[in-house]
Amino acid sequence: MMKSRIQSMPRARTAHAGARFSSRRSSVRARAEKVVGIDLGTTNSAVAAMEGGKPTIVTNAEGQRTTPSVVAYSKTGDQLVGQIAKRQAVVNPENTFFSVKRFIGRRMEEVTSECTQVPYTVVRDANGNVKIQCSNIDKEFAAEEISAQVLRKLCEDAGKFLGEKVDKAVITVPAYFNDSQRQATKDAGKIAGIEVLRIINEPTAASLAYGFEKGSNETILVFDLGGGTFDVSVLEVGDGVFEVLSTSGDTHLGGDDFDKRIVDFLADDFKSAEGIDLRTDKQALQRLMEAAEKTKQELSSTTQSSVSLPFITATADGPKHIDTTITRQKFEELCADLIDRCRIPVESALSDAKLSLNEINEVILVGGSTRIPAVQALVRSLTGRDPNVTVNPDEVVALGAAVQGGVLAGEVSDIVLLDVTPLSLGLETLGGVMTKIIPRNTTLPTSKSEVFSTAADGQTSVEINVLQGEREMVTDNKSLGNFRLDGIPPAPRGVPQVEVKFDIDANGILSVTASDKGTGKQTDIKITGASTLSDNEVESMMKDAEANADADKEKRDAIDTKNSADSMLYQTKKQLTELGDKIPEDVKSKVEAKLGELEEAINSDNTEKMKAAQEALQQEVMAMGQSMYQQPGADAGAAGPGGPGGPEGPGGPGAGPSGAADDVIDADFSPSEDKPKDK
Amino acid sequence: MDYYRVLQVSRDASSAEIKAAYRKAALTCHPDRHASTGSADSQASMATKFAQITEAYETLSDVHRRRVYDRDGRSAAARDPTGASYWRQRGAATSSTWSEAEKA
Repeated sequence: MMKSRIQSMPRARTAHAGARFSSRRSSVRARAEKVVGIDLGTTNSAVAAMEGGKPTIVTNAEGQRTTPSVVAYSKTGDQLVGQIAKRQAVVNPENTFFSVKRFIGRRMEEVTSECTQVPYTVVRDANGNVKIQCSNIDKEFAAEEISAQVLRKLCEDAGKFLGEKVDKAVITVPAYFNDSQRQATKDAGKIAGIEVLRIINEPTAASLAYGFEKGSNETILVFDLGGGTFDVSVLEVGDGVFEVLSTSGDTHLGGDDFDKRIVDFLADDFKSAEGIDLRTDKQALQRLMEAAEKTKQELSSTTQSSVSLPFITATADGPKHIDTTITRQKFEELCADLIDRCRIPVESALSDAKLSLNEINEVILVGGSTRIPAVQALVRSLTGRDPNVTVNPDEVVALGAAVQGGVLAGEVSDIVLLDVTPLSLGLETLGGVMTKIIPRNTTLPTSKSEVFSTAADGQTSVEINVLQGEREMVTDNKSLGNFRLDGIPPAPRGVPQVEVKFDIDANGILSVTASDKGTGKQTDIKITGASTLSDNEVESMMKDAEANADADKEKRDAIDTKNSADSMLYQTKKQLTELGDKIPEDVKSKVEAKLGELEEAINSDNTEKMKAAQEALQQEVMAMGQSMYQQPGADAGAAGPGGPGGPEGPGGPGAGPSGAADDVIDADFSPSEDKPKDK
Repeated sequence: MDYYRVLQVSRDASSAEIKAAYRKAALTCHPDRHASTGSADSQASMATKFAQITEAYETLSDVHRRRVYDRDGRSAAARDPTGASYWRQRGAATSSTWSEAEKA
């Protein structure tokens, strides 16, 4: 049943998309293993794959080009992912998890402001890391697990679209993500059962999609303002080499913050009028947030937008409503400081690249928030030029990730991406200062080593605190983890020589080794600790997710079986009535007997019995059909059993087995309306 | 390691020539270019080679560092030369230990 659904999917879509996909069909698929590019966004995600030598967006099971990065658990414990999860957020705010990208790879103290912005409960676990509480299934999730659910859906849907299993991916992250956030994203992929071939930076991915096939030599600035993060990258593109010169950003700035301003404005307004703070009511908050997002989006194309939230709460006087209008000017006023904050990373990226504005050939806007006119105006005033609007800001990152996937799979041969580390890496030295080993904007992969010594006479061990950040003092930077090198022979201070080596791989993920040059003793430390999961945790979450996926499949199978059994029961009964006494009595009684069995199986809710009974009934119905044809004047009988999805499906005129089976599932909703859509 | 030989350019190469040579070398020996074909060994050797061309390019593309390199050689031209730093002993990190070491 599932298989037939898979086959029929791309066919339906190709018809929808028309000429755009014509190259898809004619291209010869050379490789068996598909590598997809995934833009795992704060609010929305997108998937792309190389098709016929070009990156192409892969639509999801609902036919959409982007999927909300939302996971929810219903009262009955069912897991919902994507649009379906987003849609029920208002009635289930505490168990609907969105914007989890803001929490991934973070420690609790890094996200204090984010915690208050979401209606679900965020708690601190024993290690000080962020956990998300789900009351409906009474479980605490790591942000990695929630992201993994989104990734799993994206890959499953992509698999259906592409007609092959998808388990290899290139996933994008904000360029300004630190080591922990990258590692956590990679872990999310692992939990979802995906082999993450590469983590690449979002603005870099965008430049790949932009410069792919262009072939000209240019210096470009990518301005990427997404749902939760802001990145700026300056790149030089030429001779197939995409070289990142510098990267800067702000991981606490995005479209969510703009929404928050509207929410606060509306809530403050309401509070002063009615004396009630809507933000303490989770359901009202969720409605406010959705209205704010909609208003913000509308204000990108209109100069004012009305907000209408009837029955937002109730007092002793009766129900209360919000009915107001927000102008674009008001919105810009509310967000003026946020928009202004975009200035700093642009300036520092340019100065790090040692370039002046007139050396930039093209400015590319990425991320939905760059649709805000005030943001575009800022870019214009900062760069003195009109930004390039030829790329779709929602899709370009996934497309670029697909190009990189093509490079890694050997499908794309004339491109190489030279990315950099966004933040300096180093370690803590005497006096609580950070000594940098790899400065920011160093091309990856890279490895650097340095020799350190002891601070005290007879010191036999050193504690190595690995840091990431630009500040002088240790406490202002992010600690990626600690490790210890023991067994240094006692010697006067300054005599022992300890070599510390930092390796950053192409994913931007760090590994550190330390060796005592005297004894040759080496500690090999994978940076764990801080705000990422341990290997064991990842492993157990992976098993957990797999078990849940199997359970979901079973549930799904049960629902599908019941639907098709119901439909078969109905169709067969209808046929018996329609054909009436044209059916020989002995055949009819056999069919009726099997019908009874199927009905019984449906009533007892036994999936296996239903399947068996359907098969048995199928046999009898075929026999019935055969007996009809054997009768003289059989044309009436032949016209009768015409409905696709009916019990004689496989033999039905014109309808292949896949088409018929597909309709059985769709018939669940409204068979008469669905049919023409699919054909 | 002679940076000019690594990039296969002459000692009087212009900065444009150096950039072109770097791009050409990056296209052939960046580890990504061998991700789907090479064995682990060949990938590791490519990674080393790529690290060398990057180091060479980082130095020769910077006018100041190129001059230092031409005059005094590789180690003098290293980016951010930092001297040996000191660690505090685990658990014995009193302020006196630090200041003593700092004086030393």
